[in-house]
Amino acid sequence: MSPRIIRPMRWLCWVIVVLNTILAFVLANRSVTSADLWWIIVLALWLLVSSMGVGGLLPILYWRYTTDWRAWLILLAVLVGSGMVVYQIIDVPSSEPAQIIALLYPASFCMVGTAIIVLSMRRDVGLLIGAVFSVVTIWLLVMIWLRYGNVFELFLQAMQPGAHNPWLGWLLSLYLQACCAVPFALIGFVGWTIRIIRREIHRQMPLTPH
Amino acid sequence: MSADAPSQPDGPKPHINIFALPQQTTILSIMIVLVIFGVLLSISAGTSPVELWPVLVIIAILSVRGLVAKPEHDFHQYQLVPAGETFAPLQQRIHELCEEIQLTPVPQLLIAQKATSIATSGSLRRWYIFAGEAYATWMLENLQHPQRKMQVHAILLHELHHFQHGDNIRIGYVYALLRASYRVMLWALLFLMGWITLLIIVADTFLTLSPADLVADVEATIAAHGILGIDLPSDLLIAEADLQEMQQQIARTDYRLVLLYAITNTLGVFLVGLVLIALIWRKLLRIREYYADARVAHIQKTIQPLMFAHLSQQRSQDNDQSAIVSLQWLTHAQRRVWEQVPKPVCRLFVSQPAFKDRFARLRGPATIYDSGPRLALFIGIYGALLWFLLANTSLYHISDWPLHFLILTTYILISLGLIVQHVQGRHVRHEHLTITAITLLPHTILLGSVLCVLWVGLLFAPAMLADFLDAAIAVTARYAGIEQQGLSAAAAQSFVIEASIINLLQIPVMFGIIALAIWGQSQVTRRVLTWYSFPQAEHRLMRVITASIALMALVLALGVLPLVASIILPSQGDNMYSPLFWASVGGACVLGLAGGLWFRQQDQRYAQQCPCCKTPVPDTYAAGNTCPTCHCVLHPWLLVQYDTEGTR
Ligand SMILES: [Zn+2]
Ligand SMILES: [Zn+2]
Repeated sequence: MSPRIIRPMRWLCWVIVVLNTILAFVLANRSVTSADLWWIIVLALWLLVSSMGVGGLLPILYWRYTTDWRAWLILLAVLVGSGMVVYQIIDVPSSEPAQIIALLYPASFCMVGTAIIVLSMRRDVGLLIGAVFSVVTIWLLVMIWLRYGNVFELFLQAMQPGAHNPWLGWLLSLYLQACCAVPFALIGFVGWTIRIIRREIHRQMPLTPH
Repeated sequence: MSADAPSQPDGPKPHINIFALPQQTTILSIMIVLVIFGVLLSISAGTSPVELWPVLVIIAILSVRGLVAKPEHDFHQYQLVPAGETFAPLQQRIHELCEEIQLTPVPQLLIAQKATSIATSGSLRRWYIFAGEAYATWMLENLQHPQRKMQVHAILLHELHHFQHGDNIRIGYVYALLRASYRVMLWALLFLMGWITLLIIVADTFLTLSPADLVADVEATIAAHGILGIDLPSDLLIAEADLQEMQQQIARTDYRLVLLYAITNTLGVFLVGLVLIALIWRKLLRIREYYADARVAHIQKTIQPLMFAHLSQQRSQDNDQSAIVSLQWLTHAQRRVWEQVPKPVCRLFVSQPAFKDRFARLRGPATIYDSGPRLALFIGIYGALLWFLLANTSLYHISDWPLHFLILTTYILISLGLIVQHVQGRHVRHEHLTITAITLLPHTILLGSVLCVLWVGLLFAPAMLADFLDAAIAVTARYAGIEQQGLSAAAAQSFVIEASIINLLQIPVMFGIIALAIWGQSQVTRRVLTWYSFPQAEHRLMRVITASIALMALVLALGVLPLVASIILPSQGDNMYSPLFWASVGGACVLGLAGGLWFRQQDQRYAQQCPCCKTPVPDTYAAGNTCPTCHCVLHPWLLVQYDTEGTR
């Protein structure tokens, strides 16, 4: 990619991020009848696709980590995470379009968040953050479950029609994203650590930069 | 010329051998590691509404991993590549120097594409020395030069001694630990805030939850919309009785206090990490350089080549702002920001000491150690800040903890720091009173302001104060909102009065105990330094001194402090009736007595007696003292000779 294209593309990405955020907030605070459902779905798809694109493009535009397999791994995790969000939207029926938006807006938000993680990825730092994030998510979930009860029920309860709470959807989707990143982040992190330990034992030099 | 012949009158001036004294780098590293793990243990032990022990495990694993992955980190950060055939003579010279100083394995020479000066990188088993290409070329060219050869040797020896001193492991671990702890804690803080806020939002709705209704609701919606549905697995649902118990527990729990608990504990560790970085980390980085420099001077018997090498390095750094290279903990992006910062501000964060500081430390090695008052202020701030961050998130701490913590830390650190003064023969006559006063000053100021705030609250807003104390008690008492009983205004009043009296009473008591302990230890240290004929003194004498400090600390911790605490603190008064209390006091007495007897026996045998002619030497020790009869140097191992003239 030539530098002349990169700069406007970066700007474009950030404009899309801002637009998506505003769009999600405006929609989430509007009362929409079920007749309008089709354009809600169009907007939802736009939000999803554009944020996925932005989330994938931003780290590449800034750091050109395209050759780094870990960057792709994280992006893959993001894609699976987004898939989960979509699944959730289809699967938990609701007459409140605001809830759909509330679930989609965080998808774009998460995308940018993960992009930032990738951006900060100096070698394994991105995966490290991902792994810690995931491990603590699971641990916290188990902890809350043991102490306060079934978390999923808390969510189901809050997502009932009438119990309108966009914030909850926002947090739920964040949690789903984190959960989806678990296996990917863990595999990468553990694999990387094993490689370092093996090098340490055999006194091998790290790979030299090309 | 070796260290055991310092009596030659025309030889270079003898200096204190800092390697015979307790190593400052070790003390500072232990201070950091102990504090971080101490804090993590204290927040993860016992019952709490949020299990924080996984954070301890994560930080422990990540810190070790960070240490092992240091080469990976540096290879990426400085773009290191193996030095090719061109630099083979340089690698060969490193090999020879390693054999000379008996260092294995031999560090490998690398060329840094993103650094200009020379530095080390290493984990437990992989050791590297890396230099910028221009720098390595300069060394290579001067390897055969008759005069500048010594400069190259000085530089290489300096780097090799970083490995010899274990800097890569000790300081490398501290670095990895600081990084891991502040990152994980900042993350945990944000994460827990999010999750517990969620709990606050949903707690009320959860109270009215009925599983049967829920299933019916969801099924009805599915049917109404005709969308592909889900079957709720029935094992997801809990039995009615369990549910009721759970709901009762939720009703009793104040999630705002759970949130407060999580925030104070994770934020506390994060702040402790910042305090340690600000107070100790930079000091540690500078001091390790002084030690490596000192070792080069000991080997080369002159500081001239090393100083010339440092001087030329500093000049080149002044030209191109690359002093920032030494900011090892910054990423490239962060460093780019730093490069915009004005140079004087930059200097504050640079870990490499300036040329004139290195020069001064080589001329007077004792200046590596802080002087009495400076040491006292440093330790005072360290102790007070930690006390404030750990105990005073609550104010409820009127027990013995601050008393023990401050006295023991202060006593051990001050006593270790003062050894160098005794070796120099400085009479720390009344200085121990000044030192103790300075040490307690930060603590007293902090305590005073905390109590002032409490009294202002008591006088102007008693109801708010009661609420505040309630929260504080909940946070420390680890009940964090579970089964909470409110504190009445009258109880708050009596609490403030009691806390004021007891905390203020502790100050003079602490002053007395610390001053007495430091004074006593000073007497012991000075006396031990006169055991001239003690066998193998060069290896064993410092151990005797450090062991006496440890023994005194043990006696304080087991005997004196519990006794004093149970006399002045009402909350500890009941201890008097427990057999464990008296067993520990008795144990302290036995330990102290045994130590004292051994000391007397050794003292009668070896004190004030010249090892060469066995005649008595009446004076106390001062570095460079000689026997009045045979003029043999006493404790020659405490001195080392090298030339500091001819530079500048
Ligand atoms: Zn150095
Ligand atoms: Zn003599």
